[in-house]
Amino acid sequence: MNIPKLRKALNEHKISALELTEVYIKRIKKYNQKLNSYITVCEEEAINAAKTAQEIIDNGDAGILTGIPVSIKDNICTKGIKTTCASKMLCDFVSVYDATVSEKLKENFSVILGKTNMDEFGMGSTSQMSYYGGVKNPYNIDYVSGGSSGGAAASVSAKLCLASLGTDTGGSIRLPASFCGVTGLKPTYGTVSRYGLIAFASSFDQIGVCANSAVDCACVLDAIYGVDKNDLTTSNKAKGNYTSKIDRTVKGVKIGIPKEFFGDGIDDGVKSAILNAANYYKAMGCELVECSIPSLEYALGAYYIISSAEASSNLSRFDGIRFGFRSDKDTDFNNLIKHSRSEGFGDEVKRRIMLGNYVLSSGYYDEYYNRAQKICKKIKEEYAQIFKMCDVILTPTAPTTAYRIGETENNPVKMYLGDICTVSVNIAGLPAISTTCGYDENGMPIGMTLVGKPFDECTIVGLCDCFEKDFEKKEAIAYEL
Amino acid sequence: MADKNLIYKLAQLSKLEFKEQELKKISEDMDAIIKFADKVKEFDTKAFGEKYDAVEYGSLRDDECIGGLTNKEATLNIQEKNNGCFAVPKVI
Repeated sequence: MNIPKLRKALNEHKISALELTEVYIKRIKKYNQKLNSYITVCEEEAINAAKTAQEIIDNGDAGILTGIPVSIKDNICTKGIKTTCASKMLCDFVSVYDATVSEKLKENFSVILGKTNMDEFGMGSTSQMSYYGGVKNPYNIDYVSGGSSGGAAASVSAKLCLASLGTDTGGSIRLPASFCGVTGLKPTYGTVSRYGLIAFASSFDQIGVCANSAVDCACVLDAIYGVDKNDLTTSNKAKGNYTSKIDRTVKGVKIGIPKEFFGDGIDDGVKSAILNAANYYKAMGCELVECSIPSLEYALGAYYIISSAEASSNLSRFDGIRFGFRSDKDTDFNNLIKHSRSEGFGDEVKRRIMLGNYVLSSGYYDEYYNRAQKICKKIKEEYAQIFKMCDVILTPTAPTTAYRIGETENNPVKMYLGDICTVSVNIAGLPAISTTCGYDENGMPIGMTLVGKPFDECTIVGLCDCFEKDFEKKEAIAYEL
Repeated sequence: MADKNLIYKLAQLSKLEFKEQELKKISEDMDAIIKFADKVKEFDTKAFGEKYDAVEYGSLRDDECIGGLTNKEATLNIQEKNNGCFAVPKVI
């Protein structure tokens, strides 16, 4: 059942907010140990929130998310509840204020079930690099969930919540959504406030949604978007009403198919599923337009240079003194900081900080950081050119389906290459939505992505919904066995 | 493998420390990652000016005094405090 239908059922008292919440808590208790999608479960808070939501519903004042059980990625601050970023560094950190998005969910009287697992500080594509252990894929628990919002995607896929807030810096919502067979919406940069999000790479970070459908993603986005005086990158170009193109005809929509997304390195099965989806849209009256993003080959390098540079700066605040893990080994000031960071951060975070400092250091800045910024500008221009001819762009979400756990463990570069289909969207700051469009020979989901013009989430949501209505989805049940 | 001196220098800049047995792995990893990042050197930058900022900012908020954290809130997450202050080892 999607959020609008559940909304109706709640408003008509066919189910109470408390009954709904208890169903999800029961499922979390039964399955989370196997999947590891939650780091913190807030049972007591959720029960109380459900009771309050019911009062609002009874008074006839319910909003779209009132009484709807959701989860939040563990890098988004929630007042009085642990926010760990899946790191030893923040394993005891309790935020003293709510992130703007957490506050908005609470203002809507939605029920926050808990905080979801992730790659430490959002740095990874598998959700295996968590201090709390990796997230398992609900379609097959021997496979990764994708990352970094792997807990968000797995919690939706396994029906341990109805929707989940994730964050997307280089594909961290879309990739796990693809691997776990759910829908993931990354809004345009500037649509959602990041105030209270523990920053990874500020020029790319964006909060978005994992849910069971495009409709549900749009409902949640409607509740969390908007200008915030605490995040000066938020834009008044974001207008809301993200379900406005649901159930409208898609006839005449021009869909760009960039050839670079269908070259070497993309699995044949993935290519074929995406092209099938393209043909579906053609049959629905859309026009397919061949196009090109020639600079895509530089996107991964540029992304990892800039995101690591920003991470090295953002993570310099963790010194073991003001908050976070503190080493007990030293009495010397500099060694205290060094040892707290060395013991508190995991290997991937250390690698990114080291790379960030490398590309920013004297003698390398122009060759790497400055050059990467210019690549970003070029990629942004190339997307803008395509959008002169097309309304949306269709690509694979990932070059492959989910990997087996351990497959990229000792090979960071191999893991980075898995982001090839997603990072350019963050570089260009565009909105994108990923949904399931097929299954591989092992039954693992294949994801396709629709990329939209800046602040035109409505078109990609509408197109995605159209496909989802005709696509026969297989439920994830491996974790139940 | 990345030069040992480079790893020491980067670790110093990063306020990190690697044990002797960790050095080989981080050197190998950094070598592979730097080679991966080297791809950007093939990009022709002639058409671009000196600097480019990828982020467009909205309007700045008014410079007004707003409430901050109380001492209790600011010190809630520290492991060692002294009279409501952050405690650090002696530096003098």
